[in-house]
Amino acid sequence: MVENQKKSPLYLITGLVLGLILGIFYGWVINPTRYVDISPQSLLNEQKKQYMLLISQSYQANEDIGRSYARIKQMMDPVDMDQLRTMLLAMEMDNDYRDQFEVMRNFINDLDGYIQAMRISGQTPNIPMTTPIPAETAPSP
Amino acid sequence: MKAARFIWFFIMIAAGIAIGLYYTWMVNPVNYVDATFFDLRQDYKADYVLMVAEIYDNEPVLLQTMMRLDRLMETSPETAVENAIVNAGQLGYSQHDVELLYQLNDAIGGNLIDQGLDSNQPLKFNPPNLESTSLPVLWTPTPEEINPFLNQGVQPVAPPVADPTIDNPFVDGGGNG
Repeated sequence: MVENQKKSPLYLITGLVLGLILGIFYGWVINPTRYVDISPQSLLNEQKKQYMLLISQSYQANEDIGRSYARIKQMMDPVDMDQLRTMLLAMEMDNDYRDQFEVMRNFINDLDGYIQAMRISGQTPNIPMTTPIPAETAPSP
Repeated sequence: MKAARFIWFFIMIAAGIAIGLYYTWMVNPVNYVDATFFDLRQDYKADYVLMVAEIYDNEPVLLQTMMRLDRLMETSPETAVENAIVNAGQLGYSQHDVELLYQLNDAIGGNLIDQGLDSNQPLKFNPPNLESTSLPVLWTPTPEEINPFLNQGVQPVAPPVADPTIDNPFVDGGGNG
């Protein structure tokens, strides 16, 4: 009698692993997930600098620290002053932003004072309701 | 039996691909943190344009304003501002902020006409007038601007006429012989 040799299921595992590799390569490299309808938190670092410069310049124009705080919060929640100052120092060395360094520095100093005042008074930062600030949502795949 | 093995082999490959795609797209997608201003949600874009309008209101430099609007990578800066105005009406922006947006729209040559805050009204489109081909008259000089000495009792002095008695090298007997 000839015993039926039990065929090893190794070929099934091999196929599964091969498929996993192909799927992961395609999903991460060839066609990765692209977010749309994002918040400023997902911007490229260089564009975050441009966004912060824009907020600084608009603060210089409207002198509304509450609104500017709400805008910064869209880019960075919670607002980290150390990270903002690090960004400011990096922008000081950049020729594209050197001319506007004073504007950004004044804004960050005023923002720091605003946040400190809110903490001392025990209040949450007052966000003016004259214009709705976009709500933060998770990015969609 | 060999055919069955091959079939199962490819079935397992397909299953592996499906599991891999599910993992990379749903469970652990790429942390895509290098999106551009174009990818911003519409309300964030409207706020971006509002900031540009606020800056322009304080410092009306058109070139820098257009550069800021270009970063949104919309069809045109005018389109970006028009979209912002439409979104502002839907989002309930304040009167002052909407006016700033319309001011920016006028500055960059947009086609929207300020109609107030009623978002139910359709926005009018002011198409450019293509029938008139004459150049616009920008400035008409006054007689005094043409001749500053008109009413001042001063007559312009005519340039001196060359003295024919002075040696003229181009005339026979001139300095050059």
